[in-house]
Amino acid sequence: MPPLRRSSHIPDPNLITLYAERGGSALHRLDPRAKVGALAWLVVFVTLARPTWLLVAALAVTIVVYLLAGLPFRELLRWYSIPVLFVLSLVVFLVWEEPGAPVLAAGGLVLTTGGVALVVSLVARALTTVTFTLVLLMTTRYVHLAGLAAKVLPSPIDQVFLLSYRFLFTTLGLIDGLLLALRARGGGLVRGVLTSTRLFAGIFALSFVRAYDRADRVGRAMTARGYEGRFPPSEPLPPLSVVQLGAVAVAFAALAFAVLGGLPGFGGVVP
Amino acid sequence: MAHIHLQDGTLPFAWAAFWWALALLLLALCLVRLRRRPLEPGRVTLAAFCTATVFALAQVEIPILGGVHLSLMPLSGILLGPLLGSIVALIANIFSAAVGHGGWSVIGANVLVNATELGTAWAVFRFTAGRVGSVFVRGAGATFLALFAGTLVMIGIVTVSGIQGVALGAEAVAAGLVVLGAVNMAVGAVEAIVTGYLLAYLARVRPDILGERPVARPE
Repeated sequence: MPPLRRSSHIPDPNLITLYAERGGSALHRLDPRAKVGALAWLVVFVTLARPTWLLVAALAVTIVVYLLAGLPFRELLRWYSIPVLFVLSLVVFLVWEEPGAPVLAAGGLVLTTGGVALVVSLVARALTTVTFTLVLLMTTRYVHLAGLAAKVLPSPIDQVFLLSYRFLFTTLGLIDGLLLALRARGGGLVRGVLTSTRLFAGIFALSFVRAYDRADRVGRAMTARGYEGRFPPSEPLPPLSVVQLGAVAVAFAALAFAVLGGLPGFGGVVP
Repeated sequence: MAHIHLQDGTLPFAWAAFWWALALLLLALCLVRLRRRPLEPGRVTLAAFCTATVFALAQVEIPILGGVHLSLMPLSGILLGPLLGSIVALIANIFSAAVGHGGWSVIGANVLVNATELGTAWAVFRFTAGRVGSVFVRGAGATFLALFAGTLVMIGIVTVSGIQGVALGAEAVAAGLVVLGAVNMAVGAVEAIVTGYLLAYLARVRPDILGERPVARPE
């Protein structure tokens, strides 16, 4: 039985925040609006681009950008496992019998070069945006992300978003403490589906009750201090960088030209 | 995972945009309904706590069936209702996309899947109040039905949209997704039992969170 713990395959918000607040690379100094715009462009790009080589190239470029920002590569590889698993779980039933030369045949199923290209394309698409999302989060300070969220999201979505982000850290600490306490008492040795299910239901329930009580206290404290449904930003966003935003706009225009102009390799607007 | 997350580039651009538009419409309707009465700060903190806890607990790997993560969306629906729950679904999906647990372009589709789960769980749990005595049975049943409904919506969305680059027809894609959905529901059964126990525990120790009267304990 594996040890009881939070999954190490999902990025740790504490580590993300550490890099975002302490990093000093050129990417850390970019306008947060430009980085969000670049992520949006990349999402549209990987959705519209068709050739496998182009998608793999896009992934390679984003990994280079990630490394240039001074972010940890080994963790990135570990964090890739969940998105890859999602893609594989979706296409495992669909890759067989794709057009192309046979690569592997087993049990009446034939994996072709087309099937392999499909898997590589979908994995590259997924990992490209995952990588750049991590670049955005790990090079942008919290106050700037919060400022952007407060500007973009309508009330009360912005309030729930900002509060839940703050609660996230205390909740993660609380769950870690519970899992540690459980392991210290031999909880990791428990066997049997039903026993494990009941055990984890207990952990989850206790986490809920504790987190609820904490949220209730925070809510009362906020109300006592005059909270009326708005969080004033603690720090304004940096001045708008016209050059950086202009570069993103040009990239979007180029992509629109490539798609509308029928450039080879770009489609995907409709199936 | 008891809930399937699609990654960026899985759905064609036009369909991803279409599901985004539908999800935004749904969220706009929820906001209009929520704004009819001033939202108490306590409800905002409850929704935020629920989002954070659901997201944090989804990171815990349960050592069953080789290790599973739960979505806990049906639980959010039962605790918050479908209106505030849909907002939680949006934010949880944004957080999930931020850590590679689903794509940005498919947040719209995922919100629709989650909203189905939230709404179904809330409706079944409320409908069975007073009809079924056991909170565990109500919670587990509501969760399983909610995840089943969510899986059907997911299969529908992916079948209608198609998967980029797949040469198979819609029928073959749907057949593959049904197999995937069956596997998903096996994990959904684990989530249903966990949620049932969790709700039974809450009903015993903190019935106010469920908005219900305390459960009478046998002497």
